[in-house]
Formats: sequence, structure tokens, C-alpha cells
Amino acid sequence: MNKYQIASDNFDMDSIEFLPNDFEFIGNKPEEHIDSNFASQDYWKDVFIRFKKNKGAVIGFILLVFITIMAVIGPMVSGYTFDQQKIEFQDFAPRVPGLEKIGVFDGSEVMRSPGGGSSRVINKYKTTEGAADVYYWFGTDNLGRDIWTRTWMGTRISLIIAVSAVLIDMAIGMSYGLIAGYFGGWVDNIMQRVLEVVNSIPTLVIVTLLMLVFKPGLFTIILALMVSGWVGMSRIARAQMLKLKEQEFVLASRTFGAGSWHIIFSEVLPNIIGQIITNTMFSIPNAIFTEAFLSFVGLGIPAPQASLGSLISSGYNSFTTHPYQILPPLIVLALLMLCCNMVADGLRDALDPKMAQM
Amino acid sequence: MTEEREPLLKVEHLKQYFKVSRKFTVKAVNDVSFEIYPGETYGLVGESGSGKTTIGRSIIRLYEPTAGKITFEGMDVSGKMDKETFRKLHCDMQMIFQDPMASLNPRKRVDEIIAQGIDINHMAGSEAERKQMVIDMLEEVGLDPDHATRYPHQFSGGQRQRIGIARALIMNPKLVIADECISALDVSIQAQVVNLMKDMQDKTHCAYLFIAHDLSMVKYISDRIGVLHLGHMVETGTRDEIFDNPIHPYTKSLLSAIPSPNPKVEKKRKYMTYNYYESGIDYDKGMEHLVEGTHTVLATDEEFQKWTNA
Amino acid sequence: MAREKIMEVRDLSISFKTTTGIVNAIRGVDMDLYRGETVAIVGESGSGKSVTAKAMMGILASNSIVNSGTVKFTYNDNGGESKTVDILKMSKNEIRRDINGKHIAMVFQDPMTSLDPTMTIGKQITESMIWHYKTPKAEAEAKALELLELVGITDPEKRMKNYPHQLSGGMRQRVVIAIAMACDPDLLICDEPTTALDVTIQARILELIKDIQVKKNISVIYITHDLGVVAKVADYVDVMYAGKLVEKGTVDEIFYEPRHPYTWGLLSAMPDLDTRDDRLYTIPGSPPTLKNEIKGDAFAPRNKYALNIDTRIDPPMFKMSDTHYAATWLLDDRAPTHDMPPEIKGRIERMLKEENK
Repeated sequence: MNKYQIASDNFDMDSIEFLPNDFEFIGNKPEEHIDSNFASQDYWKDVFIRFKKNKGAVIGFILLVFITIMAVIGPMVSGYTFDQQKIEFQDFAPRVPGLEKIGVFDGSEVMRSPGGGSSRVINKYKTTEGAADVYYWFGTDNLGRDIWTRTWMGTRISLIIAVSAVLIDMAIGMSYGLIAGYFGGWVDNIMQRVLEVVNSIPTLVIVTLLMLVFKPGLFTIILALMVSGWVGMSRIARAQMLKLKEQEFVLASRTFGAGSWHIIFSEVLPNIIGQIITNTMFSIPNAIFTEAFLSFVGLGIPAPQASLGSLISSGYNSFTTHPYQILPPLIVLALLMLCCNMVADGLRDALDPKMAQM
Repeated sequence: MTEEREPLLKVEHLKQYFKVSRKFTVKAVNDVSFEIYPGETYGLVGESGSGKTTIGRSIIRLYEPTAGKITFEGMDVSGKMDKETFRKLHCDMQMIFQDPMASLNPRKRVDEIIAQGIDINHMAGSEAERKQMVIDMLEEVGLDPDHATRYPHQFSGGQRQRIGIARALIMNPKLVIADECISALDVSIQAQVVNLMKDMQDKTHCAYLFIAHDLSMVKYISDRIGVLHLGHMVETGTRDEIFDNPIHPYTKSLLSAIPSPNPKVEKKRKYMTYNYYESGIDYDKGMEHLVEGTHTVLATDEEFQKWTNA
Repeated sequence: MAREKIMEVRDLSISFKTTTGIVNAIRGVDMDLYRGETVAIVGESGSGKSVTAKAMMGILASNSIVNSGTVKFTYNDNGGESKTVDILKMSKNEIRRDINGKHIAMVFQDPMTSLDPTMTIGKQITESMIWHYKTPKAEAEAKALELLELVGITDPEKRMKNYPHQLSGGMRQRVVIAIAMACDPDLLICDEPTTALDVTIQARILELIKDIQVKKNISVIYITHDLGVVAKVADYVDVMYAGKLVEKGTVDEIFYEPRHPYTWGLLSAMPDLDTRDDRLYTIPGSPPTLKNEIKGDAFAPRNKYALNIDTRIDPPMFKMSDTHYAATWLLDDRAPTHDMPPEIKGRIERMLKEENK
């Protein structure tokens, strides 16, 4: 019988097989580094794993890559150029080799008489002379231009806008916000007033004013974005900087005599790059839509160049008679924006797991 | 002996005000003077809002002192500094921070964090030398040099504070400001860190400015102690002078409030109250009065009479 | 007088689902609490002390899994008859209606987070009385005034109309205590009630809680890592490590006759005012992460006194007296003779001497 009773209910001393050396000291040394470390990976690897888990984001990403590839090679494979007009081939419905045999995309479309009375199926490929062996995958517009080529050309424009939005966000917005936040005081005061002035002018006004000086076009739109598109990003960068600059690790590097640039770009920036990337991704659809909107109202890309906005605008005119003309640019635009948002969402959750729980 | 030594750090009439708005200024530190001698540990105690953290940060020039003079190794470091003084201040004076998580950049590897001071001040001749310094330092503070490429979040709180200590001590400083460096840690880990700090002091003979609110730890580690209240240094002296013969009523009340891990004593102990606003004491009118040796207390002449005779 | 048991925890085991896997936060805890007594749960962060308290209040986080165990709470119903319930089996709504605030109240570490910044002090105190007992407003307000006086707030009429940000830290914690006391609870759980406060205020808050406890004859559970606080307030002490109880006993037994090496380390890691040793006695390393299955005694890798058996089999609780238990194989008859580390021995001798002074 042990000197001290065992008080645990479900503990059976007899069932234990004791080894002869059980009751000898192991002889643990009072060493300091027996700490077990927490196994965990590199930050970016973690981000990648979390991103992969988000199915929507992965699908969005794949689609985005697909759209980008199509924007590059799409216009080359159709055999038409975006500004090649053939008046006699105007308003052709989509016709795709192979698919036409099973009755879809065979170039036929339903014509309705105004007033909605009788309707009949016509096929312009058969009725037009010399069009029997012609294929327009997405059809043609009212000037006989290939919609397939024009759609992907428009996508190209949208993506260029997207890339410039990212660059503007990063170069102007981020730096502006970080500098204003870090230096604070009167520097911040002046920079914030400038920002408010810029932000108070509507983009539409800026574009219209720019039109007076420059020709309408891609350059003008990018310039307009440059004037006002970075405001949101600079606010986020500034807020993050204000939050982080009083953190002890920033103070620590100041006690070593680190300079301002070192602290801003080497100490603070790596800690907020996640938010910056996320915010950039969210600003892409915004920029794309701004371009599409401007083109739609006629302030954007001039003809014969195409952008998704101007394509939708011209397709809109014949929407009731030739609905296939508006659908391709519309679908691509919708997909583009949806994918950007889904990827941005996934990135946010992956980069900052705490945000997802909020 | 003490009188003959040249102080390593001399703080004279330091004032640190923060302007909150046009009408309102926070007087965080008000006319504080003290000295730290080479190789000693000076404990600074006070409750939150007493200005103890501010003093540490003003000395290492995270803030611009409003008034007063700070002399470090014979150089004036309170005003505009020339390049050499600036460099010397940032090499010879180091800081250990309170929060072991917030004080290490989460996106940097441990070797980058520890070598930061070397990199900024170009102290290593070659890449190999830098690496060797980091490895040596990691071993000194009881961490595995193989873990140099890991990130701070892969370490426990105590290990992170070791990294913080390594980062400060790799510069071979003459003075280390330890700002509440153990208060965020668990009790058993606190003891480990305090032991490590003592060991490192034995090896490098650096001086510590140990800022804390935990009086029992301050008493254990410090040679001399300064008691702060509402931005004023109400009493300073050697550990024994303060603990055996407290003069100022605030010091007395602070000492009476230290919880003792002894149930029989603790259950009976009564706490001495002190309320500055009701006591009639005005710190601004007080002068430094010498009690004995290095023991001084902030009081008016009458108060000093009253407290010492009582 | 017979002790009236109000809380009985048996074989409690709780896990948490986290993004990086399952954490076994509590691994089989037994605990008892009697009316009018104070128990302190001591342990480092991650030892499971807060989770235990949350389980007692039925406010476990949503990602928690109760693997086994019962938390039986006995209280006097409205009619005055005593009623025993198992908190783990009650629904969230039942707990909100019958238990929380009414019979068990909690005081948290940071007063600012437990007060609503948009509500006046008076409203926050009366709210629970009106909700639980349908007390008329005037009566509730009268009682709130009484409570504010009880917790030592001067000028209570004025304070009733104040908002939390208008009060100092110590005042806020007093208000939190007043709110906790509003419905005359049977049990008050204090989770590190003074860590966020200065020492001078800390002492006053502890004395306040003690006074109230005596006046109202309630039971108090303290969750803390500060042994000074434990020494001041506790009747009984439960020492937790890695989700298990390693030693429990009366406060004197724990402080003057500790038997578990972890308790030794904990006691000597905090210097008393007379510690003059060159180094503090420390427990090396840090607590284990509870993600992995722990084989044997979780404390063994940090234990200078670890036996070979510790690496294989978790020690049972050995009983030294009716109140004093410890889980270490050192108490088995077959264990080699061993002595407490000299640091802690000297400390205890000093403490006993100090008492006789």
C-alpha cells in the first residue's frame, strides 16, 4: 500500500506494467533551449495554401488567366482584323464550324417584324453572295466587322487599363499614403488637403477636361485614372502606416538609427503588402468599369478601335434585332469583373486570415 | 566610491510635454533628474501614466525632449546631434521592448532582426563576420542557431523576448533600456528572462535602466531605484535606502501594496492609501532633498521636516 | 457547519478546432467549490484555466468541443429550493435565462471591454436586474446606488449618469464588480481581475471583492498567474498545467508544503522582497503546445525531477490529506528520495519566519 492513496477514479495501478528503471531520475539538465518550436511554414507558402482552399478564387483565377490568353491570341486566330469592314457582310449571326452541323451557331437568326407579329428564320451566310464558306464565330456588327476579333481587342484594352490601374495604385497611391502617414504633422496635413481637392472633382469632369487638351483614347483614360484613381489606395496605406508606425518593432529600428526610407519601405511595407495587394485587386474592376462606362457614353476609345464599353454601346443599338452583338463583350466584361472580385476576395482571406473571420 | 565615478548617463531636469491640441498639453515628464553609473542597474518604478516609459524613450531619442539635458558618455544627446554623436548614441544605447510579439517585425527572419543594428550601422566587415556574430549571439541568449532563418511567430513568448535581448546586446551597448520587458510574460518565463539579463550583465558589464511596475522584480534586479509619480521623480536612492527607509508617502503606499507570495503575511497586511489630490502635496513646489548618500526625496522644506521626523 | 457544495466539475475535457488542427485545451479536470469559499486557479497562459472558467459559465467559444465531463452547479431557485443543473447540457438560451448574470457572474481582466461605452453606468447595472427579475425601474435604480456605494464609489448619484470613459481604470473595475453583483449571484468568477490595474489599485480591488464576499456569503473563483494575489485572497488553490490539475490544496498547503515540481518552480519564479540569490530558480523551456497528443506527464520535459515513468504514463492524483492532492510519480513509494530545490526551501523557511515576526 502506497503511503499516499491514489485519488484518481479511473486509474488502476495494477494494470500498469512497471519497468525496472521507471522510478529513476531521467536527469533532465536545466537547459534553456529545450523549447519546442511551433512548426509552421513560410508566410507566402501559407498564403498559397489558403488561397488554394478557396474554390471560387481558384476558378476566378483560372478564368482570368484564360481571358488574358484570349486577349493576346484571340484577335490573331480569326483571320480578320478589328477594323476590317465588309459592308455586304453586315449583321451576320454567329457561325462556328462543326457546331453548325448540330443546328446551333449555324449563322441563322430569327427575324421579327416590328410590332412582334410574324417571325421567320433567315441565314445571311446562304443568302449573301460569296459568304457560303465564311465563318464569323461571334458574328459581325452593322459595319461587317468581326465581333470575335473586336471583343478580344476590347478585352485587351480593358486589361491594359487594369494593369495601369495596378501600377498607378502602387506607384502613386501607396507611396503617397505611406509618406503622409509616416511623416505626419504638417506634411500629412498638406498632403491630405491636396488629396481632398483631387478627390472632390468627379472623374467624368476630369475626363471631359482632358478631352479638351488631348484626343480621346487610351492615353487620356489612363491619365484620368492617374489623376484620381489612387485616392482610395493612399487612404488605406496611410491608415496602415499610422497604425504600424507606433508599433514597437518600428521604434526598435529607430533606436538603431534607421532612416525614414528604411523604415517605410523595409520595415512597414512588408507588413501591409497583403492589404495593398488585396485593395489593388479590388480597384481593378473599378478601373475596368470606369473605362467601359466612359466608352459607353462616348468619351472613351474612338472608333475604329474597340473596347468592351464601346462594343456594348454599339451592340445596345441593335439589341432587339441582333442580340448576339451585345452578348460577347457583355459576358466578357461581366466575367472579368466577377473574376477580379473573386480573386481579390480569396487573396484577402489568404493574406490576412484574421479578416475573414470578421 | 560612487562620487568618484563618472556617470554613464546623466539626466538633468528632463521635461517631456506632448501637445494634444492647441489648448491642452500633456506633461508626461516633469523635471526629472537621475544618474546611471557604468555596469549598474537602475530601476524605474511607477504606475501607468507616471511617465516611466516616456523617460526611457526620451533618453534614446524616440522623442525630442522639451527641456532639460541628457548626457551620455560625456556627450550631450538631448539637443541636435552631430553624425558621430548620433551614431554613438544608437550603438551604445539599446532598448528592450515590452511586447515580445509587437517588438519583432513579423515579416523578417530572426537573423535579419538580430543583425538589424549591425546592418544599419555597417558594423560587420563581411557577410561571414555578420553571420558569425548572429550565431554567437543566439547561443548566448540560449536559442538554437539553426533557428536563425525562422520567423518570430514560430517562437514562444519567452523565446521572442530572448530574440529582443539578442538584438539589443549584439551592439555591445553600454546602456540597455529595458522597458517593462518582462511584464507581458508568464511568471516562470519572467524568471528565465531576468536570469538571462543578469548573466548578460555579468559578461558585458552593461548598465540597465530597468523600467517596471512590478516592485518585487525591481527590487530583485536593481542596485538603485527611482520612484516616479505623475511625471515627477518623488524619491530615488539605493535599493536598501528605498526599501528600508522610504520617506515619501507615495513610496510608502507603493511598498505597502506589493503583493507578497506568503499567505499568512499577505492575509493580514493592510494597505496604506495615498491620494495625491487630497494629500495637499504639490509636486511642482517640491525640491530635491538629500536624505543620506544618494537617497533624495521630492518635498518642500516643511514636508521634508515632517516626513523625516515622523 | 457542513460545507455546501455549489460547483462540481468532473472529468472535464475540452478541445478546440483551429485552422491548424485540434487543440486539447483541457484534459480531464476535477474541481469542487463550496459556498462562501474562494478557489484560485493558477497556471501559465495556455494551461487551460480560462477555458475551465468559461466552461463553468457555459460561455465556451463556438469552435470548442466538449469531449467528456460534467459541470454540476447547485443554486437556489426563485422559490428558494436548491436546484442542481449540468451546465454543459443546457442550451445557450437556458444559460442566458437562468445562470449567467443571475447565479454566476464574471469579472474580466480589462474593464473597458466588459462595459458598453454607449450606455450610462446606471443603466448597465440595472439592466440585468430588470432582465432577470423584472425588477421595477425605480427599485433597480435604488439597488444600483446601493451597489455603487458597496464597491466604494463616492458620489454614486452622479456616477450613475456617467459613461465608462469618464471613469478611471480602477473605478471602471469597481463598476464591473457592481454589475456582477447586481443579481446577487451565488458564484463570482474573476478572470485576472487586477492584471490591467496598477499595484496600488490592485490591492484595493482585491480587498473590495473580499469584503463583498464576506457580506454576501458568495463563492469566488480567481483565475490568475499572480501568486501574490493568490496568497491574499484564496482559501484553496488549484494549480493547472497543460490542461490538467497538477496540484490542489489549501493555500497554506500549496505555499508551505508544495509537492509538485511545477508548483515549486511557479513559487520560486516570483522573487519575494527578500530574495537575494544570484539567480532565480526557473523552470526551463516553455509550456507544450497542446496540438499534439501528449504521452505521459506533460511537464516531464521541463522537469528536473522527471522519472523514467513520466515519459510513458501520466501520474495519477496522490492524496496527501483530505484537501491536498498532487499528480506526480515522486509521491509513489518507489520513487527515489528527493528534496525540494534549496531556493524554494529557503524561501519557505523565510516565509514561516516572517509570519512569526
